[in-house]
Amino acid sequence: MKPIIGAAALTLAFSSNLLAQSFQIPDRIEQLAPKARESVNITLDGPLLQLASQFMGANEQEVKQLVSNLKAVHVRSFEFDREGQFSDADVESVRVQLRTGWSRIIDTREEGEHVEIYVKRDKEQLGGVVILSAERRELAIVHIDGPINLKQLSLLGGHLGIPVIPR
Amino acid sequence: MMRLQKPHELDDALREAFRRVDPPPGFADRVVRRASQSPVRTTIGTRAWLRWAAAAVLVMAVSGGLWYRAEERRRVEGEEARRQVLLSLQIAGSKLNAVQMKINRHEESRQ
Repeated sequence: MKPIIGAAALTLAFSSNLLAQSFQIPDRIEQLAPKARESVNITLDGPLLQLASQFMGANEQEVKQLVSNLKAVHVRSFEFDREGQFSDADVESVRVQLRTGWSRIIDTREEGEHVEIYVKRDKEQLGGVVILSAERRELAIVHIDGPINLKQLSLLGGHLGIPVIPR
Repeated sequence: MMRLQKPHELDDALREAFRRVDPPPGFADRVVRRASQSPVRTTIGTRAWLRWAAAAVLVMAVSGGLWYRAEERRRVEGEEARRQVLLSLQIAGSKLNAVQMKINRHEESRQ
């Protein structure tokens, strides 16, 4: 009996760890869209990313290579007319999901702008990135799910305004 | 050529030439059968071929139309997905740029 209970506990722990590492845009973030002057809502899963990579031009081969390995891309970006349209609790609903299985590698605060970058480890490489940027009138969440190594990111330095990540 | 010796011989020759002869048994049936079968069979065959050809053209036209529509929809979806990917990376890039600039400023101020 004991081995069965042990195996069940191990499976539960493993699956809950996987569940903890998966990231979803919280509902309360989705509900900010009606208040925003401008909003961007992008959800691209594996098949759509594969389809997108087929339509990349000759000058977008590095982006194509990066995209072909990704599992999903989620972007929510809101621009508001005035301050106070989103609360700390809204931002906290994102951070809560990133407490387990994710590492915050950058946290910058300056003049009302707070940017955090979280990465997920997958064996020896990055398994995902979340960029959380909260300004007075802007909120942006970018989630890139899939294997991204620093070399790939550095290859994209200068393309589409993507800089080389400081090590 | 037959040579007629006397005037009445002409009558005899004509009578002999136009003598009623009965056809062989089954001749009428064979004629009727042949006359009724051959032309109808050709018409039916031609019509059936035309029907199949029309059906094939119709199927090809419908299939081609459906394929074109599916391909066109796939192209529109692909272009839209590509645009969204580039926009996503652009937003991510702009945020990373801003962070990098802050880090650089911070390091410069420390030196």
